Amino acid sequence: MTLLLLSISLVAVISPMYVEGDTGVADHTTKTKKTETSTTASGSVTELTSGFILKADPPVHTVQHLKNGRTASATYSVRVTASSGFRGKVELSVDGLPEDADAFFNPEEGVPKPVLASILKVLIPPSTPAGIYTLKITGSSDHTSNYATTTLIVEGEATTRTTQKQDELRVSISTDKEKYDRGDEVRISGLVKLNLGASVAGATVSLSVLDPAGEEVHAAVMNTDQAGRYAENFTLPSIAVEGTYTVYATASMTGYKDAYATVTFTVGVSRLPSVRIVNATITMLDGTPSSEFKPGETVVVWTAANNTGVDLKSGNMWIEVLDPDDAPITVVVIVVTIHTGEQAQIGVHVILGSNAKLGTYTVRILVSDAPIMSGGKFLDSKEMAFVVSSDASQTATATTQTTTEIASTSTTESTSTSTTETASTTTSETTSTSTAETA
Amino acid sequence: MARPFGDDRMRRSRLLLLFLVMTLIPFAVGRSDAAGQLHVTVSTDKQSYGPGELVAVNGQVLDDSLNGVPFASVSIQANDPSGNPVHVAQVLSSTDGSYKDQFRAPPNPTNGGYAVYVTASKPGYADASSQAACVITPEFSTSQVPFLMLLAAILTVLLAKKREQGSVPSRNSRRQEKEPSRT
Repeated sequence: MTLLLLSISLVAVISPMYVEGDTGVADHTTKTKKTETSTTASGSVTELTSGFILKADPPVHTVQHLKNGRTASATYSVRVTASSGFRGKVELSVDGLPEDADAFFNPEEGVPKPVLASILKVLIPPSTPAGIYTLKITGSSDHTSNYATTTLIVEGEATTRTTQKQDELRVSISTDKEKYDRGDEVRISGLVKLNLGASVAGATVSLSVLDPAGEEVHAAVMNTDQAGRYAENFTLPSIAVEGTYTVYATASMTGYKDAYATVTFTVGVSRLPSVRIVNATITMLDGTPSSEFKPGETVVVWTAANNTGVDLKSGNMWIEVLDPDDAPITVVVIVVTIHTGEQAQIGVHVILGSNAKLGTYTVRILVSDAPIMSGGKFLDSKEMAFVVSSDASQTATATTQTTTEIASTSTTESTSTSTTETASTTTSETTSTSTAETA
Repeated sequence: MARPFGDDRMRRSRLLLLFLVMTLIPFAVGRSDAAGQLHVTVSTDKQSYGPGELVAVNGQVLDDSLNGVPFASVSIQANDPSGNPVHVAQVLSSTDGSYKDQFRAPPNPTNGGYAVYVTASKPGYADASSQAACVITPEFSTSQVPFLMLLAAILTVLLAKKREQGSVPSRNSRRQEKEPSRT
């Protein structure tokens, strides 16, 4: 068996940031198993009959309001441990956040093998009222939902809100599998949130499933539950057209603009590449997941994409990093080939400048079949976040057992790389090296 | 005269074949993956931007009848004058087929034309691509003006002091030095 290990590095010297990327390949091992679990919580650990347990640490976190209008943060370690051979994907959400607070997970979802380690970062602006808040952290899978609780104590006098915060709805969508056969049951589920933070109960979600010819094969309207989740099942007909299906979700709530999301899956054999981003994690250089960094530190963005359609040849994986003012800081483009049924995993190093702005950065991950300027189109996208603060030493980190995979026995080929800079007019140098080993 | 039995059977076979063809043709056509051609427009809200300014990208996805196409996936890539991508995004068109995106111009932009490329796609339609252009120019921000004025004042004072000390010849002294060479 051929072991192909590809390592591609790219360096772009830019001001104020510096970018380096690595890419490797990993095998495609996505499998799901349906389990039934009771949903009861006790302290910070769930009780369960089967499936997975959820644990949040520390049980209590006390945060003092910072001076000079700065945003304070609280970091929780969240561990999802599978039992009874559970291998489903678990999506994390949080409820009970204080007013004006935002929160995000890193990673937001994943398959516990048997542990999924994530970090919950809660951002507390000066306008958040002091008080004791119970955060309910929920892990949801196809047929299972468990939660753990933890306490957040906010101390100090809250200031009046200086700018009107524009809350926006966000909706996520996924299917229990990426590939089905005719006659299979398809389970669609997702989550409705406000910005990066609180889940939204009672939002209306409209679903529409289109076959490869654009014919609607299923439609449904439902409301989200108390955890902001929605789910819908439908059975593919025995004469279903083979190919790539697209599911559209529209989330609506009075007082907010509609939010949209899509996901694709394949039935039988598809004539097009059908690529889905299945994992996205932000880590430190040593691979430990982290959501908070200091200026000058290196942020590593890991992402993995599966292809259930035909071979994706010379496709692109894109990593765009936006600063707290939503200004694009860097766009990294990696050319990648993902064969049918295989997975590509890349890691991109982003070295923060010593004068990097403090605040919340957004990481946008996309996969396309070709550059858009050449008529290509994005096949999937995902967003993540991390915080740059001057006092990142408080960051509690979770141990990692199931996160990054760099090498594999996959025959996926990652070919060439390219990178660009956006942040300055200073001269930039780009170098790239690649090594390949076979055994 | 009675027709031979074989002729009758052949005619029935032909009729059956014709019936099957007429029945199956609509299904074959209906299952075509490209039911129509998408059309996509793209424009920016202004033609010229300064550093850090918000660039709004707008457009619409239309079908052959120029009706808006909802839920079309719109892929967006903005390139700087050197052809390097500075922004990428994937958005969905709304119920009237319109879509919106925005990005902030780089704080220290490369002077010149920036291109915005879009591709619209939806199952059952053939993809459509389009592009727009805008200019992003580096400029002095208003916050830099007081600093530059202060710098100019300091340099003027320093120059005057040096002239007083005689280390920097004044225009008159330089002229006086040159005059003898003319004669």
